[in-house]
Amino acid sequence: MTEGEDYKEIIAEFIQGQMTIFGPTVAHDIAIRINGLVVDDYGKVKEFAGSPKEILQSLEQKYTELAGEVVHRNLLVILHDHPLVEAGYLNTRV
Amino acid sequence: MSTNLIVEGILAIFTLLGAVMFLVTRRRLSAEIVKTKRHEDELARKVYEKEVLREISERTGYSLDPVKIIEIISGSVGNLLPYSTVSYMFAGHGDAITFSCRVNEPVAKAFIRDVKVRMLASFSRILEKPLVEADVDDAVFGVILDEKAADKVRSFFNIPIIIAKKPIGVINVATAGDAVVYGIDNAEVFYSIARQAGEAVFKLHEVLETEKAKLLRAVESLADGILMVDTNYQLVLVNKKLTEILGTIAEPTLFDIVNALSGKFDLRGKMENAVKTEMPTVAEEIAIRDKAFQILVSRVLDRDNKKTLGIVVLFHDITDSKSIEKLRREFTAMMVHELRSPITSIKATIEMVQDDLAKMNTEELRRNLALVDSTSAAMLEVVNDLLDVAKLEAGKFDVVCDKSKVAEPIAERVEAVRAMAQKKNLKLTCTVEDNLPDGYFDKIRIKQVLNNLLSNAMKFTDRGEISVTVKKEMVGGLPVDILVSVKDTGIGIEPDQINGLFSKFKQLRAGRNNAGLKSSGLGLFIAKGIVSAWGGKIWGESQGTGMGTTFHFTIPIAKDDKPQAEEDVQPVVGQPSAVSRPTVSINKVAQA
Repeated sequence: MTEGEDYKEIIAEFIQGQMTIFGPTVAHDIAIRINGLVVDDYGKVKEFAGSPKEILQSLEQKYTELAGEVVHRNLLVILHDHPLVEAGYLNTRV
Repeated sequence: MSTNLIVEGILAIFTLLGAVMFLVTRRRLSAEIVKTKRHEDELARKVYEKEVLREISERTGYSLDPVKIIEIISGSVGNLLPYSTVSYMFAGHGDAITFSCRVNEPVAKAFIRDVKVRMLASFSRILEKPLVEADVDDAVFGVILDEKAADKVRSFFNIPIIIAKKPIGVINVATAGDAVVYGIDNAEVFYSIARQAGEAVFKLHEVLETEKAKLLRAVESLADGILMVDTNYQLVLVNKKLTEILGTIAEPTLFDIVNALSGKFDLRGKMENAVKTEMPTVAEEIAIRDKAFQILVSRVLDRDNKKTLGIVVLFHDITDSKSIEKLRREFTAMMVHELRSPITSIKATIEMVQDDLAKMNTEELRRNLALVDSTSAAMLEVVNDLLDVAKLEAGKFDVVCDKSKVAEPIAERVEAVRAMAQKKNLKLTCTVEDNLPDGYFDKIRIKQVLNNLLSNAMKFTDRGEISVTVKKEMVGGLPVDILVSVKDTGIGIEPDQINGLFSKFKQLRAGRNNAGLKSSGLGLFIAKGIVSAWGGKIWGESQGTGMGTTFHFTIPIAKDDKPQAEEDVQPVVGQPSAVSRPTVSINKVAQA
């Protein structure tokens, strides 16, 4: 699996998790406002343009504005299953 | 081309232009209307946000009860959005989850369950632990449920309530209709309100935590043990001192504490009694692990409404005061004995003389009168000591300091006891260092100090030597004081008992009784008061029983060159003028 595919999975899983927390529409609305990210109604990533790391960072920031640190902890759980991305993402997280 | 055609053409162009202009203007107007509507909505949301935050602030003062905040936010949803149900869920004690649903439009029971399941999933993810429906307590109110109405949620959103980084609960807004679809645009204001309320409560929480930490530090530093329980008898606070007193584990439960007091103190019963009565309950004094404690149980009341908030129990250590009281009683009994013995002896002697006066010769009469004289002198000595102590404690014991030669009064006192030393076959020496500077002391009171030290040495030494030395005490090659030492080869004393000799109550009765000698035992207490008054120190040394004792005291060196006026007002520990004769009260320095 390439890093891009890894990110696609992570982002999709992350959005779907937030759909459970906030409700599907609110979580989806936030996702589709992220520059370079295109997702379907279920949060699956159809395509993205630009840095997937920056897209994930933007997503995390937007969701964190709604629910605080719990969002980051949710993301950590997902990242844990993707060790290749996990180290790179956490080291450069703004 | 006919004129008509030209006219028609022009009309058609104008008509077309007019239509285009109409369409452009209409589009502009529509855009303006949309923009205005958006502004109005934005304004309404802002007003709503401020209103809800104000209500939270007014109704709760941003209290630490998050449920109140959740109730206010959920109760205000209808002011901004149409909805079928608004619900909230929060964690209570243990694993219990409370689910409360306000029904605004008729829905089926299945709709409520759908909401609950979605909220449970959200709350579970926020709490990062699985939650089961069986643990949820339901409360549904509002419009009556209708099984023919909608049973599925069409649109919803959840608002997590996070306070002090801790997930507290979730609010859910759900609709069964198609009129509205909830998205970030119409829900954002609720997240903003929840965040701001959470931040405000967090700040309050921080302030309270800081104050609580200060209070806990104060409670921890208390010399007394303390515990507090709430109205449900749940342990709220217990300080380290109490765990030390009771010998429990570091963080005991109430059961541990009750258990540690078992058979000594009915803690539970006393606390229940304190709730019933308004007065604090002072328990009888009890002994815990060789120490005496007085236990005070009282209610903690709310300052405003006087409602009982809990019970506080204080364990006050009264071991020391008990010991002092015991010493005081023993001291009084001892003094009574010390005075009664000579009076009894004098009375018996006088009665005997009265009865046998006719038969007595002059020698027998003289011997009996001499006995009365010496006994009454001993009694007078005890009475004088008691009077001195009374003056010391009243701050009326005057010490008049002056610049003077140290050797003279010391030599005089040594010579005064020489006859007694010879009678006991004791060697008595006095060595005074050459070129001794003048001292600053009370010439009369120093004799009282020496009398005490020398008479003690005489009493407690049966063989050997008593030596008195006077020399400069050097520190860093410079003289700082004049050191007077009285050394004997007598019965000695254990090192850990020496300090007790200078206490009012803790005379070394054993040693004195062993020596078969009697006195008030207050001499060293008085000597300490006198020496302290001129700024000196007094202490004793001994290697132990049978190893002799040495007592030392110091006299400040008189300062010739120092201006006098400014020093006349120096306190007890300072050194006043060598010329003036200040009177020094020594009540403060005479505490033994």
